[in-house]
Amino acid sequence: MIKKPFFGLKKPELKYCLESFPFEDIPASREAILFLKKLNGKSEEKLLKVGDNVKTGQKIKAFPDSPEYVISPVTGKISSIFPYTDALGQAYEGIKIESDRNDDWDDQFTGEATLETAIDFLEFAPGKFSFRKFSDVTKKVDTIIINGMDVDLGITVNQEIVRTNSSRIKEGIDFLKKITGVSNFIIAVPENLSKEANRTGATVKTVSATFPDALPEMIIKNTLGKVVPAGQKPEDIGVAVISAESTAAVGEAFATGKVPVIKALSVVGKNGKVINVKARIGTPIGDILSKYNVAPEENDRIILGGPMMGTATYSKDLPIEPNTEAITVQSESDSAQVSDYPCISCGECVRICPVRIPVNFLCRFAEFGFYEDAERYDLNSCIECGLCAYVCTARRPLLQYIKLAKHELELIKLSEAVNE
Amino acid sequence: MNNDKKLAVSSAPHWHDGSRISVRNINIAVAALPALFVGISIFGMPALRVITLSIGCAMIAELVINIIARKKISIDDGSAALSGLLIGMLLPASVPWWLVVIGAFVAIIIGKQVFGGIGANPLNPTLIGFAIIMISWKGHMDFDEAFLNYDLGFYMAYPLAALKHFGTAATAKYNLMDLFIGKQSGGIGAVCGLGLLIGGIYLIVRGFIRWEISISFLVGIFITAFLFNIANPEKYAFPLFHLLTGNVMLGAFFLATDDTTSPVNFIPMLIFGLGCGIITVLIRCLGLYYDGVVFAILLMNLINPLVDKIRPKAIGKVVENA
Ligand code: SF4
Ligand code: SF4
Repeated sequence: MIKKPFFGLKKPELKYCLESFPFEDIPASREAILFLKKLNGKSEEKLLKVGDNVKTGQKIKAFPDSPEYVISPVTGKISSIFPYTDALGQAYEGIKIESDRNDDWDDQFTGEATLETAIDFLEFAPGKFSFRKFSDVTKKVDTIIINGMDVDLGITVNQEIVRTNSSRIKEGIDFLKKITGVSNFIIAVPENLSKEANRTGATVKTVSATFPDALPEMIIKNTLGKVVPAGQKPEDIGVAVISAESTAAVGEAFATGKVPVIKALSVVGKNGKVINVKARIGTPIGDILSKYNVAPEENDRIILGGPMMGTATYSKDLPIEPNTEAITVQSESDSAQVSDYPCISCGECVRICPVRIPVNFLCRFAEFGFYEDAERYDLNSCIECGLCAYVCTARRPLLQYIKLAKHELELIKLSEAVNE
Repeated sequence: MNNDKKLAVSSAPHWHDGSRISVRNINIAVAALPALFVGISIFGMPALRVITLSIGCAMIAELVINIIARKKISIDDGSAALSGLLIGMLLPASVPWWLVVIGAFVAIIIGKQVFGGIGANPLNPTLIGFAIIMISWKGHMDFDEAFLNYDLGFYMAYPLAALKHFGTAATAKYNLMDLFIGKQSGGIGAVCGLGLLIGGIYLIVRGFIRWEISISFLVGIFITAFLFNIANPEKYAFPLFHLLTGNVMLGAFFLATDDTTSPVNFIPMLIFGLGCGIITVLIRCLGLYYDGVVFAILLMNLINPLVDKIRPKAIGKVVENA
């Protein structure tokens, strides 16, 4: 945990890790766990049952009228199906597959490079990039930014992929060009990777190594000079941001005709030691941690993602998901402890916020349930970088209030839409 | 899974820079020590008595309210102790004990707790406590009366009172260097500009107070005093005299910079500081009171929520054309 500098007049600067850590392969586990999103109001009829056989790369759907699917990373038998709810209350169908340790590839995926195939098979690929945004005719995407940086601190996955696998990224770009029709490709990398990035054929732009400059909104602002309006997505201004890993996955899928099922991620131990690994999607976290003898103690945290934006999870039994960038283990003494103290208006949060939100007011409103007022105080501009809560003198859980307010407003809007 | 270790779950971010309210307050108190030592060495044991009494009373007041309101005990954040310390620093050493008690209790209870405690007070609690006893018991708070029977080896007339009564001619009796190192009559912790400056610089480089407020406060005083001085050099003293007397240094580095009651954005901070400085000199030159620092800051506290609305537009904010 990086502390405030002694001479605190200077703003604290959190630097991204730019070192190189080669990938190590994690052997496939005995089981794989997948979470399939449930949509509200959809029929309960299930297409799945315990005992079904699945093949590697096979598309698994649970409900006939839902577009959601997962891709089986192993060949084996479904051993259990259980309900799962994530931190934000989204319901999932948990699917546990017992692997028989042989890869028998499914042949539904033809490798034909079209947008439909990408939407149909690659949404559960490493990086979990959603291709559906390209099929919305009202929002014409004209620029694709490949993020060669890792969004959170301590993670080096995308950088390592740019460093070692620029040819796959190049292939990915070619296929993306073909399936989306977009011709303007930009790759955003830290200074030290511009040589490798050049090989991909995309226009190279460098980003600073200071957090939160690798967040999609910041990259768009710093490289294109465009601002994503509050509450909107990059697609709304014609930009799509895709990670280097997702791009490489597209390349691999269409070049080999197999849906990639191996996720690259950083494992950051309690001592800050980074190991980059490649593991199958669905591998339980515990299996990876035990390989590296990282044993969390009582009250430690296992964070899926990095220290600023990741989610602390409650069990080692949860799996690696297609969008799990890192597993960060933190000891209790090293992690932030929040308090319910009132805001003292010191303004540290306001001055550090990269999008200039009056966080002190915003969070007072959010804390007491005045979500609409919070919205007036620029709630929707927030890019959820977590810096405000990192510096808060009163140690208020600021980002948590912000996420809560966004979530509640979403529910209000949903119920309004239903009532109309 | 049952014999698994229990993990802590929480929302992001999982790092914190380690700052906390108590650390901030302790550092501000430490920064006040140089000026305080000078004050105590000049005014002796009575000064120490005032300081300890006011710190103690402020903490007791906070504790009492905590218990009555059944809230979490909050004296450990150091903000009550700091308020007590600052009131003590504003008071003359000769002030009777009951006045200190009243001042400290008023500051904590009326200045802070009735609004809902830390972070909710619109006005600086220290200044509320001090202003109320200053207005109510003028005699005890008058530095000339207070030090009537003292002789500490320097010119004992309260500089600002002398200035008000005799014009610029009175300033000739004071040596600026003496004023700067604390050889003047005044509040226990307010007399030593040098000590306060050292403390202030410490707080600024450590990032506990905002330089924008302190500097613009001093600039405000300087400019306004300069203009008055040009207009009528007989009546109005030169800027340095204003800067080194009364509560200016204490105000600029320890009172105006109070977190809750000052703005957080850049331009508002400058306006706030300048406003404090200008009003201070206006009160000194045109008003009834000798020193205007306390009232100037209180006035600016009132408009703080308004000035702090001047802020840069959030990035991505959609301005609707109504
Ligand atoms: S998380 Fe905090 S600092 Fe980051 S953008 Fe949102 S309000 Fe600003
Ligand atoms: S940093 Fe915390 S205490 Fe300070 S103004 Fe922001 S929310 Fe309030």
